[in-house]
Amino acid sequence: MSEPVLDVKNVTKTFRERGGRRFRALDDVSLTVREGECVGVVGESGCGKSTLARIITRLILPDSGSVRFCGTELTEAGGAALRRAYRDMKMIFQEPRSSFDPRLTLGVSIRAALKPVMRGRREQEAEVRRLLHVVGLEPRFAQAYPRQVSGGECQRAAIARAIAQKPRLLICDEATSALDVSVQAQVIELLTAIRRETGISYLFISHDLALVSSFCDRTYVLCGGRVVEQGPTAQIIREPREAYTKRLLSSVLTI
Amino acid sequence: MERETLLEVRDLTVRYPGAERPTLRDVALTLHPGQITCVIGESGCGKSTLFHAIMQLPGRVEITEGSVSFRGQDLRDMTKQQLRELRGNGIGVVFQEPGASLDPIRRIHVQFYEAMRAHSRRVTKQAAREKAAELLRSMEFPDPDRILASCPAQLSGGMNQRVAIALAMALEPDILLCDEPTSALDVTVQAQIVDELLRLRDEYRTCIMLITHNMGVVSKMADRVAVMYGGRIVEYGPKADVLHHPAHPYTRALLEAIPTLDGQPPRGIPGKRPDVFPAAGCAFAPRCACASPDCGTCAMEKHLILEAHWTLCPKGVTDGV
Ligand SMILES: Nc1ncnc2c1ncn2[C@@H]1O[C@H](COP(=O)(O)OP(=O)(O)OP(=O)(O)O)[C@@H](O)[C@H]1O
Ligand SMILES: Nc1ncnc2c1ncn2[C@@H]1O[C@H](COP(=O)(O)OP(=O)(O)OP(=O)(O)O)[C@@H](O)[C@H]1O
Ligand SMILES: [Mg+2]
Ligand SMILES: [Mg+2]
Repeated sequence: MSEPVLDVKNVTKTFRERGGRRFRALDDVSLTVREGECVGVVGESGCGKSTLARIITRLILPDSGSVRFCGTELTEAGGAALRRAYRDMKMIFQEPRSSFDPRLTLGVSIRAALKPVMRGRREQEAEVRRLLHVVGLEPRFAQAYPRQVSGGECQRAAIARAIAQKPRLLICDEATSALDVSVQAQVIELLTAIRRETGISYLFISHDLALVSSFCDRTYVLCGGRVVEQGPTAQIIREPREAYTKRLLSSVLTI
Repeated sequence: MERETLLEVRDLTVRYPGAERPTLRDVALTLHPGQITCVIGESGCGKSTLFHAIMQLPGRVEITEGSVSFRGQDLRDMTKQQLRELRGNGIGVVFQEPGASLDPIRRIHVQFYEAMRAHSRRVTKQAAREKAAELLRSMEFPDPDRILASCPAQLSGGMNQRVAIALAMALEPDILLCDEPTSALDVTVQAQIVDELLRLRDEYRTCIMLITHNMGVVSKMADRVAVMYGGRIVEYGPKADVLHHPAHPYTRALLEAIPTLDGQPPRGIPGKRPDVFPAAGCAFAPRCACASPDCGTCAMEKHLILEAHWTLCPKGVTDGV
């Protein structure tokens, strides 16, 4: 089998808090994502999902462990290698509004993401319109500032920006949690279509088990900074082995 | 029996400064003590705008028609001092992004103290801290002291969401407005928050208005459900009626789109929200399976189905029930 797109090995991260206390957010976490695969990460609030995503995108460095992306060791990479990695790996943040520069219109922000892969302003602008259309936003949203759009609209703009450079890996941190069910369905459809066309891989962080069950091939269950269970999603949903996973499944509210 | 009215929203039409068209049209709602109203509807339909209009934060939205009154008093007639009292004590709000309700680099215990002190001069640091710790514990934080000593920037998204809810609860408001309070939370914590909100209602008769796209939460919590589409409330009624006998075609489509644990991809609602909502007629008509030509022009008036259950769709009354 070919080398995985993303290979996280034995990652540990401790935060130092005021008063000298230490808090272990991740403890010996390993995870892989193969070409074209969609991998889910589920777990309760505060279990370390976003910290893991921040380590993979190298926004923060782990205390120990390795993160290999397309053959490059990210914890040690610098300069050109890191820039290349950043082009091939994109992330949709949990709070989309704070990931946009409030002084720029959404159109300008998305166009900035296009610059490395596309020349010509006119072409870029046409592509911005196309991307907005793809996520179900009308062209007028290109002129809107982040604070002038609704939560769900902002999240969709963040998705448009993330897919602009056709990354090989897209990390979605609760990318659909601010969306109502119908728009959520649109976005999932969209992500599925992109995957079919480009063979992109996803690391899909979500607390929505229904969504994970329909979208992810394999799933990791995180609890208190550790991977407590992993396997094919259908199997985890059907026959959870860990008490914690069972608890997650049993508290799904239904009508 | 005539029930006490806490908040009355009368035929509210609202626009954002500079926008050509109103974002909300003719929205009317009455809230009573101890009642939980859930607002559901597609992204961008105006749910958060409704909260902004109720809070009347200066410079946010422009009310062009209609009014909002609290205990019979029109908010526009209130002095600055009265409005300050109202926000927090009268009406507490948890905004959609927890970031918006919290200061990212101020420690949580300080934020509790300042908020509580703004409403009661007698609160001591110690009392504020104890109350905060108790509320945080009920929000499923096993170690509240760690949270109290942290800044929001050191906490996860879901943790901040819970802190924001606890902070709004600390002031014991008569009305609590929550915009997607559980969207960033996993199901176990979600269930806990839902129980906590229900307990708040039972103990203090707090009136809660909740925006959520989680139908499980609606089903567990709501007394009344308001369904919005294109800036209007298109259906309103008791929970059981709206969820089990939906009258408006949009409500029906929305309920059918709920994802399940069976591994099937979620089904959306066919068609796309129009760029601008028409000034007249039904905004959902272009996507509606049972639309007819006159839907584009028909008057938007309430059609009563049962006592408190109504819809804007004239067909909804005859179909489906
Ligand atoms: N900069 C920091 N300093 C101190 N502690 C931190 C910092 N960032 C995160 N933490 C802690 O690490 C833990 C994991 O946080 P993380 O954001 O990864 O959780 P999460 O799984 O994404 O949760 P959620 O589902 O609520 O978003 C939390 O307890 C948080 O308080
Ligand atoms: N400051 C603003 N200026 C102009 N238009 C705005 C502004 N804020 C929001 N809007 C527009 O008003 C409409 C309603 O927004 P609102 O935030 O109320 O939606 P929502 O129902 O809360 O959606 P979501 O579920 O995505 O949060 C949206 O189409 C949005 O683009
Ligand atoms: Mg997170
Ligand atoms: Mg909103």
